[in-house]
Amino acid sequence: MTPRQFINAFILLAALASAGCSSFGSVDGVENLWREVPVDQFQKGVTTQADVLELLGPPSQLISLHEQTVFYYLTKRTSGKGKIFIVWNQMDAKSEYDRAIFFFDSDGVLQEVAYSKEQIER
Amino acid sequence: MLSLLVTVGLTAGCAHMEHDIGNPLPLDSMNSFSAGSHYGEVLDRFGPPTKMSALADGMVFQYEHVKLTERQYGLILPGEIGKWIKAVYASADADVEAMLFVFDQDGKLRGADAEAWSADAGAGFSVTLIFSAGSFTDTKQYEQSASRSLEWGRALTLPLLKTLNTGQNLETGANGVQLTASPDGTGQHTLELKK
Repeated sequence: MTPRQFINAFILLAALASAGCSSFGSVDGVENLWREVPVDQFQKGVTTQADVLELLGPPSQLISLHEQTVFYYLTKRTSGKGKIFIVWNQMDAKSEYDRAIFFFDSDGVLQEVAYSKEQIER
Repeated sequence: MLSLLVTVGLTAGCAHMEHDIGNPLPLDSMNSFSAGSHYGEVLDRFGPPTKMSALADGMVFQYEHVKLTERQYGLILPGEIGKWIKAVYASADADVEAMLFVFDQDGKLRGADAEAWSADAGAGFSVTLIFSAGSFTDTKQYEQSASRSLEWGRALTLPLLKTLNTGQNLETGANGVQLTASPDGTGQHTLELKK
């Protein structure tokens, strides 16, 4: 190996040794149990608040409307990865939301239900 | 190889960061709804809203998608210290999409609109170790909004002015909604300003 090749190899090794990568992730909110229950299992005019609570547990948020009550379930997952080099760093993160929402009338009977199109794998 | 050495020698580094919050919204689908549409149709099409609230005479759904892009430029500090520490200037942009649906007490659509825009999400300057990579702009307002409803416990330790204004809190679902990153000097939040 000539001195020039040695220097080139040394610089290349130094650049590689200085590089790094990272990944991170976190999950917030309630467990998205609704993904185990087909949405059509909740029947409008039949399913009650008690049925939903038994299947899914406490909601993330309970909203009081005028003659309705809303159970709002939310799971949030943030994940990302980064590449760290000497002259260039790149970091990308993505926050995903998995939601389910239930509207009940004043008697606690289901009126509307919906799951989010985006979902987080359990 | 000489060009590589020159590049490394003259550049302290730069970085590109992206944070995609939620999924892009189908803004064109707004046209399929007209006044009188039931809120169940909106739920079927778009799923649960990002935020919702009761209104005095109905309710409101708000859907949001935010994409943050931050660029960092490394600068060389003069002298020996420049070998170990770099100065970084960072700027961030936010691409925001939002859809709003307002319903009456019977759940019938009164009005709806969709908008997409880009905003300057801020800038920052930092002096840091040469291999550090992190955000140097304050984009907290964009990133925390959708999950604030999960912070019931923390709400008990809010600053005094915010606690006193709890009756106007826009995160409870009972007092309306606001777009992500709306400044504190807007409407109901004005009472929480210290200055």
